[in-house]
Amino acid sequence: MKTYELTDDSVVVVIGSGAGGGTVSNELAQKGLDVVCLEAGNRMTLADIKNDPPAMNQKMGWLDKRIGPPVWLCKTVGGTTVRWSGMTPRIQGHEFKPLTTYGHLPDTSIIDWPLTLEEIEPYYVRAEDKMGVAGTGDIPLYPETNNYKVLRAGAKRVGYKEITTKHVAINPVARDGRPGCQQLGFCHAGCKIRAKWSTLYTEIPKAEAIGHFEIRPNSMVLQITHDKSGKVTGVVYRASDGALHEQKARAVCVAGNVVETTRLLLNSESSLFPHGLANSSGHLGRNYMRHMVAFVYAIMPGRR
Amino acid sequence: MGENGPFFNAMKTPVMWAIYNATELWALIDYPGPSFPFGGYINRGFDDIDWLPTA
Repeated sequence: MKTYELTDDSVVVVIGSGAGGGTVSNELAQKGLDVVCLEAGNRMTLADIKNDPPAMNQKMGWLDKRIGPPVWLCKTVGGTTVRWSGMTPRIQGHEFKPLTTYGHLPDTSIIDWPLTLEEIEPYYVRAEDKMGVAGTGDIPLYPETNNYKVLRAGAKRVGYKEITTKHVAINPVARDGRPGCQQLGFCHAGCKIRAKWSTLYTEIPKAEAIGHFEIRPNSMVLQITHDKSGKVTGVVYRASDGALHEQKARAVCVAGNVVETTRLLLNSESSLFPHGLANSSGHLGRNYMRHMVAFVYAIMPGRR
Repeated sequence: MGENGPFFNAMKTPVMWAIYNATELWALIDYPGPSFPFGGYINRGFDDIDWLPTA
């Protein structure tokens, strides 16, 4: 397995190994760039994945008290793609223009995105192909489960016309070296058969196989360093033994999900950047956005 | 008090975890537990309901 020296300033450092970090690591490695990916959590194998949500939360959840529910981050190789449900609807055209669509809302800084659906569509196509999103390209739709049938019937009854729940990054049939879904029903505890896309067993091993990539688990980045001109020079991280190291870098990609990315940029303040890195707007750490999820638990008629 | 009160909300998560961690209770609440050893539900009725209106 490829390894790099701490003093090697030709590498790109990627912070985080989830949807963003795992993917950008593999893309760069495939192009022949040398990548060091620093991941705060452990590296699990498929043997570590159990159909046991509370036990898995202890293994892979980000359990620091300052995060906790409702921010359901993961601290593990693969990041939150180990836990995600694979839901992959596209943002719709009008949703790129929330200010135009909904108007100004008090106490918000709502603006239109500086992007359109048309501009981003080619990247949606590439991302859906990489993740193997059901119902896109030549991939069949995900099968209609009992839960889906019930929710669809209810959604139709209350007036929904378009229901896209079947577009998920879970293989309906075998694809890209991974099997089709066996309906285990424990997606949020990690997919034990790899039918659900996660960088843990897709992008990261692909990057390792190409030989331009090193992942360092249990490596919590604490600060991004820069020179007098303001250019990034590397990162300081805490390794599993508690020791601090500085990894030099030609460039740094920050992909630590919303809470940790923000915290790292704020903690990287310096005399040159007294309000944190990437914060010339003063908006770093504000305007928090997440997608919200509602769960419903019920007993299916006819089950007992 | 009630479901919106602090007592219920403080107890909800620990009780839920206690139940789902107590394998001897699973049968009582019809929780079937891990499905991986049985090949999931792909051949065990994941799409078999017949009671929804067809319209």
